[in-house]
Amino acid sequence: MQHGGQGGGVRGPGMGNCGNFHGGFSSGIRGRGKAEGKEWMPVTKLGRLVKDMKIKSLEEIYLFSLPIKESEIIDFCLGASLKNEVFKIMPVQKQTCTSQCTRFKAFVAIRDYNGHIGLGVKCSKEVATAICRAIILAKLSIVPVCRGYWGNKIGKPHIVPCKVTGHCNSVLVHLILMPRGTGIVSAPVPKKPLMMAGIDDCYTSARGCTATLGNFAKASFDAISKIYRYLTPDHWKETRTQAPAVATT
Amino acid sequence: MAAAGAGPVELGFAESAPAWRLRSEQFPSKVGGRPAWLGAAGLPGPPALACTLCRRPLSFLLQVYAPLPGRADAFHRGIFLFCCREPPCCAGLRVFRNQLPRKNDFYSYEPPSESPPPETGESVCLQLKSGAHLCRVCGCLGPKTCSRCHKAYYCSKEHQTLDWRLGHKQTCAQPDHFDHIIPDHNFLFPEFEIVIETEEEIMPEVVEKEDYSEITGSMGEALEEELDSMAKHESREDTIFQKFKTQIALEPEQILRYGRGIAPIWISGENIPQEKDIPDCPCGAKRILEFQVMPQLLNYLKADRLGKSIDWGILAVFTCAESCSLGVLAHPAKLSLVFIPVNLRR
Repeated sequence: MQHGGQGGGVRGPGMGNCGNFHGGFSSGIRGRGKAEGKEWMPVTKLGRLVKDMKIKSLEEIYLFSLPIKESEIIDFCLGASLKNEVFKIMPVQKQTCTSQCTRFKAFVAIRDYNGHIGLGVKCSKEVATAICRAIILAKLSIVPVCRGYWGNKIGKPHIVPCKVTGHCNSVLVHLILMPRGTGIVSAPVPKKPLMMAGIDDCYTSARGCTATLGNFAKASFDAISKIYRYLTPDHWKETRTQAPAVATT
Repeated sequence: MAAAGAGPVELGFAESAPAWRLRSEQFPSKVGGRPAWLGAAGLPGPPALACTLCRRPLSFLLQVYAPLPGRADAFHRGIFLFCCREPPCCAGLRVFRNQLPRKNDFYSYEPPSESPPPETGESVCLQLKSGAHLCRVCGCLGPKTCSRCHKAYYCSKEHQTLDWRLGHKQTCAQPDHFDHIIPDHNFLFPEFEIVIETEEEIMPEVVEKEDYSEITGSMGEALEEELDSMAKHESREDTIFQKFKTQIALEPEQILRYGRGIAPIWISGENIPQEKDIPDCPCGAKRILEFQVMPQLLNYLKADRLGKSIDWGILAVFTCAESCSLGVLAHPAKLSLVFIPVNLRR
């Protein structure tokens, strides 16, 4: 009869040795399907709370500025309404001693038509991998968009509630509010994130080297994310809420 | 074998199992429930099992049956992990190691039988072979007894009050009828068996390494790299976390990674222990990584609350490389050291 632990063991060192005492310890008892329909197994406390439905919406997470580390959290909360769009795939090259190494950089924006938008940039040797990973990064960087009115508060909010400017390196993007019906007046590059955010009417003014698409897109995205940081009069009222005790930095 | 090069990593998965498989005689590796003690003598007493921060009794988290091949004195070897689950503490951790030779006073020389025992009888055994009694609530050594009936054993006052409220109050007064049905005190974690599989080797292409150090070429290239990392909003933390996710992507349900001397995978850049941070065993040998507990285990424990609750990133357990006899049970000074190297930043 074989016993684990004698003469080097039939299996290597480690927990597996007890298998001999039990006989088919790891064979067949598990019967687990591998790599098929894997359910999301959260790794962070926030992920577990979201999966157990203790945190029901993204807004609760935003309220306390908790960092979102797992893109599956966004999938869980926003799920089917998410749509992504690839801005551009640009090949970038690096000089090595033998030749040039080409990689592809993907800019992907992700949005649901309900006031959330995210931007992801990723570089990879293959286009498909770059797009996949950029989508994950876009999900992680989703921010809410606050919309407001220009004049009378009739109908749905349609514009940025106040003038905002965002910048990325040299590029500066200035968003100015306009009455209903103006449409988005801008260059094609920031037009996309603005449309995705649900902003219908806007003037834009840009400065800097707007030819660099990466910076231009990031600057407009930065402008949109700054909206919620602006303290407008409707936020003046004090509210008291209890933050979920997910460890703070 | 202890000092040999690291072998393949073995992954542990939590599966539910019938209760008879999780008793001491079967030498289980398990999560939650009561500890299935290996040796019946020299168990850690209540002072050793009190949380260092809040002084309350620790809950049994998991145990790993990890014999060392080629070592006669470590034919049976178990490592037990305890943690504090009471809010607001949720922090204290303790590890104990116990090893027995093949010929010992408690178990037979032959391996245990595969089939379930015919008698159902008591669902929980509260007395060890050596005669020591175990606490009704937590399954650890219970030197104290109920002052009225002297039949119920406890490890501490907290557990005695807990059991009193949950049913002992009624049965204490009846001396001849002692109920063997132990109520759920909400102190123990849900019980699972840890099933082991060897990890498949990951192809090198799958794990893409970002080589930031390799910057050749002109100034324009360096700027590109900088813009790249800025554009991606990635800090070092994010890269480490993404790398962690890629490494567990093949088997996302793993709760344990076992391998003496393997390189651990970290979840965060904070608190990674260096060589000098790990103290040596009192016998003089270095301590090497034995296994690491993954955060996925917390999904099974069902202990999450919106308020403070038990949480960790990675628990890395380092044990004596020689597996010396000094570091056996009930010597709190000679514990294998446990690190909570990362608590995820939120």
